Amino acid sequence: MSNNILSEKNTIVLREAAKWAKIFGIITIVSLIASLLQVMATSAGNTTLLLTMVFTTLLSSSISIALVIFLLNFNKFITKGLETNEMYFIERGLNNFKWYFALNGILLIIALSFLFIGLFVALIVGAVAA
Amino acid sequence: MEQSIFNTELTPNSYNIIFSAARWSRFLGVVTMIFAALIFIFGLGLFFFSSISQSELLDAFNQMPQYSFLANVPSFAIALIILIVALLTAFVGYLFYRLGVNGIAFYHSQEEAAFEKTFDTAKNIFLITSIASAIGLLFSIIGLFAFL
Repeated sequence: MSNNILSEKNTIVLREAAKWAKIFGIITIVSLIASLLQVMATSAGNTTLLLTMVFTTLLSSSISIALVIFLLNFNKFITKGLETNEMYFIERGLNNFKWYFALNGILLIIALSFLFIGLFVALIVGAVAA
Repeated sequence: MEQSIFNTELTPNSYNIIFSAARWSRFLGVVTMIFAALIFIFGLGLFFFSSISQSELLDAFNQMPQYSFLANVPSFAIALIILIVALLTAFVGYLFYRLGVNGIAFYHSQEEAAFEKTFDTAKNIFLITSIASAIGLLFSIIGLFAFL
């Protein structure tokens, strides 16, 4: 078993991964702001539609915001951990990295569940109609 | 053992965290590749058996004012875009799967090379999704200005 896991090469790779995670997080935040502006622009003039669309966008954005927080924390703690050589921060960074994938996976399971329920209901409705 | 910035030991908990992330990533990879295959089939169907006329496309995009600029794009070009999206999705799925496989290999072997491959793949995932998101953002901004 190798103890010197974070060699110079591995430190560079980890730092690069954290850097790109941060860039992706920032682009996602800008995209969310752009979609909110788009919703407001397209729904302007109809208050009910505007409120509904803004509420829906904010609700769906909250999931993206949670994912972005994990990515930004991954970058923050990994950078801090590599600078201070504190394993506590690296572990926290890795934990955020894990939760980014875990939350994506959980959301995917929920989405697939809805899809299969929808298909099941459609099949039953189709069978009853036939 | 003396520690330097480039010589840090991972804790046993870190191995477990990477293992857990790798398993989720492998799952995401498999599902993303299946999803990409479905997009691919749909794209091919649209390309070869397209019964969607230009006027139908125009009507569809007119329902979404922010995407009205896409109304003049011919249907085969949209099918090609779908195919490119499918290939890109499949590639990202493959990267997720590779991250999973390398992460699990690292947990079992604890080799430096596996650690390097895991986080190099993670970097590539974030890099590609950043580029794809930036392109999407560009389209959103164009759509917004087209609407205004």
